[in-house]
Amino acid sequence: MAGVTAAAASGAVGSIQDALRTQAMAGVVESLFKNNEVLGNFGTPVPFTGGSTLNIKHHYAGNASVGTYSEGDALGAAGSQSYLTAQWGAAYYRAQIQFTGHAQDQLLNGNLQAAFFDQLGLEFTMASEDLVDLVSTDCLGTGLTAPVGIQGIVDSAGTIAGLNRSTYSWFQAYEVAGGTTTVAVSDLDGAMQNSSDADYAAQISEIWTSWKQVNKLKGIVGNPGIANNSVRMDIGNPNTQINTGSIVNGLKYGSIDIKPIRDLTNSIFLGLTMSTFFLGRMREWRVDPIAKTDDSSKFLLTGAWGLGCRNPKKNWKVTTLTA
Amino acid sequence: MFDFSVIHEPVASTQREAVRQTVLRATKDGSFTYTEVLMAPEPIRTMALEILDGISSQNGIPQSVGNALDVGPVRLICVDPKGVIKIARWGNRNIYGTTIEAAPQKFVESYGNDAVVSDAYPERLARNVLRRDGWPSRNLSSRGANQGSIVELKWIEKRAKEPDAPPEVLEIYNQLLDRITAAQPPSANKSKSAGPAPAHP
Repeated sequence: MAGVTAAAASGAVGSIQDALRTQAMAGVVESLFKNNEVLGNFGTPVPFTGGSTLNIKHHYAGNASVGTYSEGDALGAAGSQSYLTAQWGAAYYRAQIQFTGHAQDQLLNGNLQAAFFDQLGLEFTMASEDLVDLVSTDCLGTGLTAPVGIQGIVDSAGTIAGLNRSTYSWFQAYEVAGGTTTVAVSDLDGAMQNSSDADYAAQISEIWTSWKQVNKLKGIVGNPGIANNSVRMDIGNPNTQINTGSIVNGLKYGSIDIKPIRDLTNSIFLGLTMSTFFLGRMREWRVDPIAKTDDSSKFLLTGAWGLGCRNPKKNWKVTTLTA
Repeated sequence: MFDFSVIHEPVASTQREAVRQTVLRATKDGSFTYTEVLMAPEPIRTMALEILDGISSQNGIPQSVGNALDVGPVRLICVDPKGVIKIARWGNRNIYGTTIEAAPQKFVESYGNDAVVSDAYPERLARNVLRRDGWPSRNLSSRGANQGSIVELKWIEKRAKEPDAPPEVLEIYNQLLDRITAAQPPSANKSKSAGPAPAHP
């Protein structure tokens, strides 16, 4: 029997016996890691405007008649601007919840006076968090079609949003392999220089990487106690405290935060112009009751979301940092 | 290769047709070079690349309208004798120590200093190398702020023979000639590395 049941079948999950308050502190401690740290980085979700894709018009060529002229010069032909449309999709996400009438009765339907915590309510809360976890990890992934991932967006090849970046070179992000398999500050410098200058013209506001690469970078910048490494000896007060520095206190590239992102691939650094990204919302999260087939109640949680980028060219990626 | 006056055609379809004829003629008579395409002003550059890839965007949305043209492989050489052509490609590995496949990631392939690089559609490896690091196309796209480090041999051979060739083109060409004649010809489409580097977690 699927879903939350009153019966405590051997090895069953979802039994209401799991929710007994007996000899337990109030509440439930979350011991399952679920990633809810990604989506908020992309700002307020952008609603789709109708149709299956959220379209963005790109201007990629200027008026060729622009120029200087001398007195009496004859007019040439008029020019015009050139545009192309990128089409960003969304992926539909769902979760299904079911509980039997027996379970609902015995849990007193979530009544606080019951001997059980509100297991039914938590099914909805937790399923929503599971969905957010999936959307988040998809957004960090390599997808080129929905669900699109940030690694797929910040890339120099492949077709994304209907545009083949080999054909439409102005849709390519700046991408380079690290000088070696271990990150060096010069890798970041090189990527920053090339992407900041024409014609990429990025305005990098955040650098994303994995916790492992933050650790590696701190080691490259300098740890105390290593020969010839004298960068970090923070003498803060008369007691001459020596500070080892910490990867959790935040690393910076100049004024730009280097953000450790859980679930991001271990081998890359991403330089991001955050204002170029958006989270498209085809369908807001919603809960719909679905038809009963027995005494069980069933619900469907759905939503449709898609990561997109107004201008992939304004972002960079350093790859192949496998050490 | 291009007669840039087509950019002054007032009608996009006329521009596109002129570019199409130019690209087809150049691919047919063997005079096609990527560097020229990448140095062409927009929208000619995009139109040329669309024609090579069998794509049309006349209604503002790219659509496949035919077969891609094959203009490769392309011989690429680093301007710096110690430079290396590197190409990163998506690949899959297992999570280290398991048989469970990890998320796709990029693996670098080293093609050495002088290589004949595939330009098969849709990857267009040679084109993408030149887009990012081509000399002098990168010099031009960055308006002189940055310099590419990899040159398309066919283009520089052609350009060096033209009467208005810049002195730096001749200088680099002569240096390349010395290196080319001193070395064995590169093997086609082969990465000189032993394949993707192992992905340690």
